[in-house]
Amino acid sequence: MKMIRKKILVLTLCSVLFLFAACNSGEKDNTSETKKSDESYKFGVVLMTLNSEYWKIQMAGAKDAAEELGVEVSFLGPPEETQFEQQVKMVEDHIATGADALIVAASQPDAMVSVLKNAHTKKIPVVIADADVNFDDKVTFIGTENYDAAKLGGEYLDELLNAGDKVAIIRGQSGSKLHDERTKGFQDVLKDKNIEFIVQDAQSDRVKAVNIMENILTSNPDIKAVFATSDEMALGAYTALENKKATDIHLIGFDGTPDGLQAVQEGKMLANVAQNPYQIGYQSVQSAYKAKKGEEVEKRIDSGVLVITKDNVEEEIKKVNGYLNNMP
Amino acid sequence: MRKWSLKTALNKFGPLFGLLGLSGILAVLSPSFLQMDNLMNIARQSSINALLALGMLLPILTAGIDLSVGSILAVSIVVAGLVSVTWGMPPLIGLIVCLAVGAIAGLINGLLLTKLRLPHPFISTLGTMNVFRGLALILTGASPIFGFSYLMNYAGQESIGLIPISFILVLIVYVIFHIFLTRSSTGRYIYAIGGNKEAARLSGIPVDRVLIIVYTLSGFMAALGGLILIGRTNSASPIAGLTYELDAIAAVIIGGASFLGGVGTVWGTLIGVLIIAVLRNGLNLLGTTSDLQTIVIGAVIVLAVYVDVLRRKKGSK
Repeated sequence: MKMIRKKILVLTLCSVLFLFAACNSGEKDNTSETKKSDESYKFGVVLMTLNSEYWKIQMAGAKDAAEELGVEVSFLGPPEETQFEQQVKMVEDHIATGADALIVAASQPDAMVSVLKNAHTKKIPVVIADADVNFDDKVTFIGTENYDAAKLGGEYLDELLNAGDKVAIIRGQSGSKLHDERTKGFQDVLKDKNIEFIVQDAQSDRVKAVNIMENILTSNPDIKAVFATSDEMALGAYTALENKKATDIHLIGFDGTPDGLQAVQEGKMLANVAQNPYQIGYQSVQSAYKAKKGEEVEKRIDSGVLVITKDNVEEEIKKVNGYLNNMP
Repeated sequence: MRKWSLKTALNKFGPLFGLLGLSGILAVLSPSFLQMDNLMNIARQSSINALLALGMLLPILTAGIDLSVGSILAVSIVVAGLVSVTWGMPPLIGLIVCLAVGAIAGLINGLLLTKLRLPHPFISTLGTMNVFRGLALILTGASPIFGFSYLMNYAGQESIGLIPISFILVLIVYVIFHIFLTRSSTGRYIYAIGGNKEAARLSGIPVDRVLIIVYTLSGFMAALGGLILIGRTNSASPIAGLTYELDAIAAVIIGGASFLGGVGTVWGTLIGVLIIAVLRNGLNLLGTTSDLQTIVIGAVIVLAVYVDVLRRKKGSK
């Protein structure tokens, strides 16, 4: 009996130590590449998640800026974009490790306000990235004007639709502000056409989008176009169009991820409203640096969008691959 | 004699040693870990899961489970938001309504299990998990409610000196539950039902009534956790609490409770909660990605259950 107990204890300690060794070495890899300078700042970044290409491109931008400026950046983000309370914890933990500035992309902006106020009372500058937070003391907000961007997507479709046509919108998590803005922008620009919109929530998930799109096609086979508020969902929607042999329906994506761009290249997607996550990441670190140096930073920085079609897709793909190849 | 007491100590305090060992390792790896600010962060960050896990302990003690706690949390805070923000009623009413909604949702779980005779709470609470989540989304039109008054935010936001109110609340509730489970007849019935439901029924224990109390309390605790979440995020989002049931179950199991029922303590659960919170916090301090955190927590769960299996095997010899 004593043997068993001992074995368990040894096993426990070994595995815990092993796991921490693994974590720790991983962390060293992350930071060893950034150059040190005399006054090496450490910036804490919290993103909505770290495991999709969109956020990886944003990380690439932040990393490049950090290398140029000689600062250190540490990235945290929950496994799923819906886990917004974990993001609050991550901001607290960055503050605890003594981050010199915070860069935050909040998936539920309202939930983030009080912890950011804490950061402000500790005199830590806060840069808001990607989705705006109603927090007066932020250094700046850098991101896409989602409403305007979605309008561009809608405009592109304008001449292809007739009055009274049906259009499906596959959107991300109900209640998420940026998906609300994209949905609304798209609907507003087509207002005059008296379009019947079928709006469904696929929670930014590719597989859910397949099912939802199939269901829409079953109940409304006469839809003329589909707008997805993120590329993951647009790609899922395309699979459904293919399954139902309905690829003549126009598909508009949003984000400009590598997969999304490839879909434009292959003619699966008519157009893709590409955000500029690289710029968001890059400018976030630059703005945080400027704030630390006491320099003036504009209160709102538009990272810009580009509607990608067959004409300009090659160029964009080259650019994005360049960013991703730079990631470790 | 000495050997025996060492063994009992290990048996009883295994999770505690795990927590201390973990903290020791983290203190070495990260200089910020033991700072007062960070310890208070851990206290604050663990409080929601502490309340949900304490609620979860009861169904697990009866060899059941409550998968709906995350959704109950969401529907409770959303209704509280409607009452106290959208309809502008006094915050005290919002507070009471929040807890009442949680308790009623839990009561529904208990009634489904005992009156409809649904085979296992895994199924009934899986169902209500979806129903309550959907209700929360419909009630709010899927948008978060924000702009809560001071009283509603109080428990989640304020602290006395350095110590967060939320953690003080956790300690008080844990003491109450400890007394309830060890000193009251209902508490002893809960363990008895987990040990052997049929035997408990035959010996005259009002099994259905106890189970209804168990699930009602679990729902109530989810709503109490929701009150902390309101304060922490100053908002009530219908997607709040997604997957929280998993962290709560994990904490209860890591804390030494058995899925087979009848085994588990309030303090073990608290240790389980702290182990998860310390792991998350420590790995964040080290700047590790969340994917790795998920792996580590998963591994700790497997390890904790394995220890339980060994203990059981040894016990049956």
